Amino acid sequence: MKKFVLLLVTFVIALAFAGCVNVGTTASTTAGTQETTTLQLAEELPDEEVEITFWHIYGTDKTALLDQMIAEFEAMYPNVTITDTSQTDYNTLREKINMGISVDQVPTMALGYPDHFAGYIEADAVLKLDDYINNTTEYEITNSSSSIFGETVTIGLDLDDFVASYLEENSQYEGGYYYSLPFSKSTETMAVNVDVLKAHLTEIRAAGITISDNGFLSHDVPLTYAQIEALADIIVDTNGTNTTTSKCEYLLNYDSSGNMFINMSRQWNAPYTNTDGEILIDNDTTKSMLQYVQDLFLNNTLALPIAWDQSYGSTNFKYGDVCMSVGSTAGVNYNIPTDADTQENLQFGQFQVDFVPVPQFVATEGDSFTVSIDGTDSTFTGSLSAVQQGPNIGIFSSASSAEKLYAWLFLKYLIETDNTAKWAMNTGYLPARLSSYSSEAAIDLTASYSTNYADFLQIAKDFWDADGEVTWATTDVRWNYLYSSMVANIAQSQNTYYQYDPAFAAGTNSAGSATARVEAGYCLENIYIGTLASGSSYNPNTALNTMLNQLTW
Amino acid sequence: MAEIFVENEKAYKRRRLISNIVTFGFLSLVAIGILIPFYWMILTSLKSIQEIESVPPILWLNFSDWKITNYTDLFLTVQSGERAGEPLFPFFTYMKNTVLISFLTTLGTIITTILAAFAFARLNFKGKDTLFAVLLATMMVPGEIFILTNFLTINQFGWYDILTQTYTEAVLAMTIPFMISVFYVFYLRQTFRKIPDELYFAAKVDGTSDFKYLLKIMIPIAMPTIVTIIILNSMGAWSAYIWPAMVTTQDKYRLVSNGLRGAFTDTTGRTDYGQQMAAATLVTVPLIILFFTFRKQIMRGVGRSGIKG
Repeated sequence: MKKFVLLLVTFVIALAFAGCVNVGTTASTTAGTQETTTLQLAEELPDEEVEITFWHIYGTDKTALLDQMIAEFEAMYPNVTITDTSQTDYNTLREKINMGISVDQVPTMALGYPDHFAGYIEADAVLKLDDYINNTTEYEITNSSSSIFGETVTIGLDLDDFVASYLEENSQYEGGYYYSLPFSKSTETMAVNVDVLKAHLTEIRAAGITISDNGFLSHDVPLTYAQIEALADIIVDTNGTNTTTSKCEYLLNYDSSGNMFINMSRQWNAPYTNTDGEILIDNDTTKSMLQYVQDLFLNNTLALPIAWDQSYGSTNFKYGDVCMSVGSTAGVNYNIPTDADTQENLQFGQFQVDFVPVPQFVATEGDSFTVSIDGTDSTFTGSLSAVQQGPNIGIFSSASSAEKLYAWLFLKYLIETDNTAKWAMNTGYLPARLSSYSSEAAIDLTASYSTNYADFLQIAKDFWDADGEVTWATTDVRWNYLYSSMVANIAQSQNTYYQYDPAFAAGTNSAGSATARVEAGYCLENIYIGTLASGSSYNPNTALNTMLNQLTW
Repeated sequence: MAEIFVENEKAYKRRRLISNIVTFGFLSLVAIGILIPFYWMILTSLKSIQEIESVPPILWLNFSDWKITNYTDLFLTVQSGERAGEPLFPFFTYMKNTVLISFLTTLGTIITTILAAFAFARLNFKGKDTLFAVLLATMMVPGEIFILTNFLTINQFGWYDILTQTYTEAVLAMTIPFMISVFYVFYLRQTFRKIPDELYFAAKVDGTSDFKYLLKIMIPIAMPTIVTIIILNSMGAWSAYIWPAMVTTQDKYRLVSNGLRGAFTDTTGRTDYGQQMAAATLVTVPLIILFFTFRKQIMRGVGRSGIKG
């Protein structure tokens, strides 16, 4: 008995110690009380030695262009040293900053997703950038060892040049202030098996879909889901891919089920979440949408990568199991069948791939659309929407005023028209600025090939103008950049209707936005699996309720 | 009569044969299960991106299809930036750090463990049992909980300053919090307690001090247990991941585990698995050599403790 009591006491003590973990990160401020103070900057550009730390997740051998930009910036401001460090992955990066906040050990600036910044803002650790954006101060560079000696540097930033939805994403926080600016952005586009479409030209045209003689769809006007259904009637063979009739087993693969849920919710104007962290999925429109998706699953119009036990559908697109595939612009080249593939796996051989905008429900914002759900027609008001993804950069408020000023100048330098264009060509991401699309700054893509963004975009335009019948030599370097150029063009045509995902940290009533996205993906996967197992008798609301249970408490 | 013996012996031999087949068959299956990840690692390290993504997966590669560049590329040098001129994957830097951290952590752990186990096994002081029970109770708290408290402590000591952290500070931050293990104290205390009291009293009669007794008598007797602790602890330190990533501010201070995870993420966030696995293979080679050199000790150690590192 005595031993038991002793054990009990020690257990309680141990638990009490464990409970002593006191985190200092809860010091929060409400953004409502923040005032729009006008920042008083020094008269002269500070000439003291300044060290700026920039945290990201890029591998040590993948940062050549970033290193180059850092070197250029350091040449412009010789008193500044920028130390960039990879923190291996986004989770470690976020955790280190969150822990660092409590002990005042945060980098000067860091890469991060909106939900990371939402957390940092709650701890009052990140700098409001509006004071710099709107600042009219100008500095003349008087340091003779500077590469821009004698030039004038402005502090303010013209936001009109940025893609509107990128700005909305970075100012979605309480008070509507900018706590970060867009850096590496990506979206989704749809890869298309041109050879299969070309084999059905007459039927496709009869269905009212614009298609060129060589099987290229429109690159400006997105397909509607009504047209997707019509294409499925023409192209899908539910018994499996049939190369003699040029039919695929599935029509359309959607790589990220989370993105599909969120993007389709926007297209249907179905409430999803908001920046206050409310989970709004329990509504009739979402339920109708999921039933519609289930119908698409049932007749093989739509598939998810789990159909092939994969995380991405690009491999099965190459293999011809599916004729169209929606995926991230960052993964373009994974969709292209090449000599490096095992040739007998490529059911349609090395077919021509094209990229088009992601399907929409309406042609213009606010139009109504009618879908048949379980045999009954229902009408909804639609919106145009394409997913916008990718990290932003923010500056932390604990830095000294000189550090903050130079960090701001560095951030501004990274997202300059030419630099963001170079970054986009180098990485497969998209430029943050509208003017980048016509940037004439050249970048060496290989040792012998240098181009600028405007010419880079022209590669796909030339290809499309010739309806795929270009006379480029097989060794022409343009072939290497054709597909990246295609998605860059498509992304540009989509950038008027990008939509961002509201970011919020986990709160007292619900999980955070990152979890919401994951659960949204599971919801569609559950519907897919349930429908495969029990057909139309599976009720998609079961999956929706599971999602709701996971996200709210 | 003799026939019965012969019959019995035949039956016995047959039974032994069957039992051998079953035993070795089962062991072979388990061995294959263990070897498959290694085979997969080496196979992936020799594949191109398309081959890695191939469905169904490619299970065998002919020599002519090997993508040796996954290995050779690791030794290319970085063209520009701070690390210009250094190898792409700083294998030797990471390896040196890992060996140093493993050595220091293990040395520290052994010292604290021996002293604490001796105190709890041999010395008498007030509240000994209660204190020991409290220590044991802390084993119930998951290690992850301590990350935050340890982090705050390290910071208080001034070892985590993202601007000025030196190599020494990084090493201290990575090792000091792991220089004590309640489990090993408990484990060694049990061994110490098995040593008869008579030895202690005899030594005392001869005028030996407690410390000399510990050094000359107890440690040699408990050597197998101590070797076990050394092996298990080094293995733990070798595979540490989260803590080293948390408390180091620069890549060159990190361990092999962090390097393997982070060095191959490209700017689109995808991982170059071929290169990553090539690096993983290179990292595994020294461990395999080490294992074969100290196979007997490691087997004995793992066998004694009944746990895997």
